[in-house]
Amino acid sequence: MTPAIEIKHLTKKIRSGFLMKEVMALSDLNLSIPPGTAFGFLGPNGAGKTTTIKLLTGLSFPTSGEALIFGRPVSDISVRMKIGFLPERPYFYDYLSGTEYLHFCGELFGMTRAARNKKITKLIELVGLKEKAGEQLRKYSKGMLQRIGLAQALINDPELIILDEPMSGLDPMGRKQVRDIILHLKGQGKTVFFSTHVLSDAEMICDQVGIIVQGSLQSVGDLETLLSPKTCSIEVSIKGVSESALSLFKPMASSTKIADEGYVLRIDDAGILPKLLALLQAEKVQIVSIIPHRETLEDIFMEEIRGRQS
Amino acid sequence: MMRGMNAGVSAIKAIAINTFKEAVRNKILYNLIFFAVLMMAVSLVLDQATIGQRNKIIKDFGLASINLFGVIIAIVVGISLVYKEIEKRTIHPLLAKPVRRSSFLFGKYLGILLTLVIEILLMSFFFFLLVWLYEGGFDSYLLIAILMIFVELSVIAAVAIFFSSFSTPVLSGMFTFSVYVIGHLTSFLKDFGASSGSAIIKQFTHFLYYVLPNLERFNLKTHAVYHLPIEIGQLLFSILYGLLYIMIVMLFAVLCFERRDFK
Amino acid sequence: MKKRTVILLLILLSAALWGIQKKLDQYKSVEVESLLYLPSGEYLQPLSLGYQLMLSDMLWIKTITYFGSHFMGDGEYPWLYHILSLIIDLDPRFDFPYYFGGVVLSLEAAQAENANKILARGIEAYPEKWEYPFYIGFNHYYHRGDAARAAPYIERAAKLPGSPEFVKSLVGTLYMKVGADETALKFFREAHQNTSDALIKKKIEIKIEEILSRREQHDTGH
Repeated sequence: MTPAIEIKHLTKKIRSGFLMKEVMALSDLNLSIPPGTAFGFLGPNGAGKTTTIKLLTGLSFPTSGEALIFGRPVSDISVRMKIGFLPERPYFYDYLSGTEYLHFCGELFGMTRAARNKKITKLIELVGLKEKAGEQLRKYSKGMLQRIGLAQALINDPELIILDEPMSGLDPMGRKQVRDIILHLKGQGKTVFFSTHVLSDAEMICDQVGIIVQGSLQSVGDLETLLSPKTCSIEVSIKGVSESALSLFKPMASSTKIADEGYVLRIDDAGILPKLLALLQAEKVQIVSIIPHRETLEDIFMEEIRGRQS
Repeated sequence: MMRGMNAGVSAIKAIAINTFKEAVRNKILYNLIFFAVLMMAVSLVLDQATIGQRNKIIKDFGLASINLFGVIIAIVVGISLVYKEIEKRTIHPLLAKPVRRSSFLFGKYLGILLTLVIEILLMSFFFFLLVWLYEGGFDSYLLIAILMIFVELSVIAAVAIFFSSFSTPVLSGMFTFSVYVIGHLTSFLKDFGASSGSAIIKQFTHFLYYVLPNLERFNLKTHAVYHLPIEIGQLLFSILYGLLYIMIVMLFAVLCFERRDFK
Repeated sequence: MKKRTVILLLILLSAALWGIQKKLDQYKSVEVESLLYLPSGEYLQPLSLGYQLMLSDMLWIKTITYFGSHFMGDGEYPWLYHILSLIIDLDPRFDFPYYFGGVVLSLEAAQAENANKILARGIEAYPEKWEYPFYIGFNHYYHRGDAARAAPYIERAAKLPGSPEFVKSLVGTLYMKVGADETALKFFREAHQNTSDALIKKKIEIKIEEILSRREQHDTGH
């Protein structure tokens, strides 16, 4: 099957600053994303995520290499009939109302008035802006702008939706709304490509992730395999346990801390968790919480950067 | 293919109308009030001081004001409306849609022309009303002068778009204004160069004469006020000259814009 | 649009534009009349919005091209005086237009009256320059042979610093023509004293001789 996105040796050098110093924004990126995948493009700020997305959407041009969408080069304008795009921190014409803006976007696709009316009603429903659709965009909050941005990205019923940091700057409620919409799209079998620097966003949505650091792709795969080998410290908090009972569990834990009214046991091997839990139950120890501690994305980024420097 | 063409036309139309909406909703046309106030002030002063040629003076002032206000709008709107799209990144979702960059520029340009047309129509209406009050008649010569003012403004707007396709608004504004000023002097500079005796100066002034728009070609204000004969051939060639110039400038703008990276 | 298409179109359109420019150049007919609509300096001054000097420079360049085209052409200069007076209205300290107006208007355009009006403005602006009164005197004498009106101007020029010695002897000659022999004598003697040029001394001596012999005749005639 033709991949939804295929990136071959994509390289972008950017001249910036007063002296026009050349900076490598993206070096030799290779990536292939099958249709129907929800792909999370992870990396710290300035890693090259937005650069990649701009190259995919035709907002800038590669220094070398190429990008194909559904088998056609991105410079082919007809490719964009199948794409929906939400830029980072989007800003739209603030003198238009939400509905007017969506009509404008529909006209860019050459949609008839009837088709637009039908589609826009549905989209406004989907992004939950029914009450605010008639208001000027200058009165919209950040979260509302992000949602109208999603609506405009979906106006053409795209096969591929590219979202640049769709959840940045949103409050937890806003994040959930945006996440739900992405999950809805995923459920419809669309390909979703989105960038983020927050791991938890990716965890809840993605089938696959790619990690990019300092302009080059570090690893691609599903989130579990990429992150699991390093995620196995588990903290078990217990309460109402006697000194003698504690000595039974202690050898299994790598460390034991005294917490209020109890202890926190830390185990490094998830495999012994069932054994520990069975033991705790047998001793009638009250289990307060079990928290798996995984490496954060920041840890991974730091590790990658350290790895590159050494 | 047909469908692609239709989508292109639809996109240009949508962008043009959106640009016009922006100009209107951002209250650009409010300067019409200044025009009206200025014209009324002039006519009041004329009523106080009767110095014979009141009709002439009201016509001079009217045409000059329509021209001047139009130039200001053409430069300000021409530069800011393209630049704002880039600066505020509203162009990003737009260009990720099946919209050619050339369509974007042409759409913007048509939107600015639409704004100028409305502006000029409203100013002219007020102007003709005033002339009618003074003269009790309709002076069709003035209409020709206003038509040519519109051609001039169209050229200036295209120049403004050209500069803002690759430059910052402050620089674009300065460049466009310079083109406007020098554009009125090119034939004068050419004569000067021809009589200067220096081959370099002569070539340079010739270069300016052919490269910059010769805006004096569109200045028929004197003809209109004094009812001097206007040759129809000259008028048509002048309009054609304006059209060709606009097309050339817009194509250059497309060339600059086509390969631009957006931040 | 394909880049190659755009460039090809550009070349075609540019050629067409050039052709139309050429075609439109043939229509030049209102060129001279355009000067007619320049308002007088009194109105141009406020209209120049503080750029009087630049405007006067531009008008000066216009003057040169206007003069040049008519000098090569019909030899008529109906607007020369108008445009020159605009320049000095805008920038009275701009000295070259005074010389230009004083000489060209009188010798080439045969408008001695206008030349003298320009020069009179020059005297107002630069009372210390001997050339302006000298040219006025010259214009009076050369065009009309009016020595009586010329003499006071040349006299004034002679008294100003920097004026060459021949001006003083010219004052003498003019007064001689008018018949004011005593004044003439005074100027000749002064010039004779001041000059070191043997040739001029000789010429002056001849003039003095002439006056003295005329006086003798006059005396014996009684």
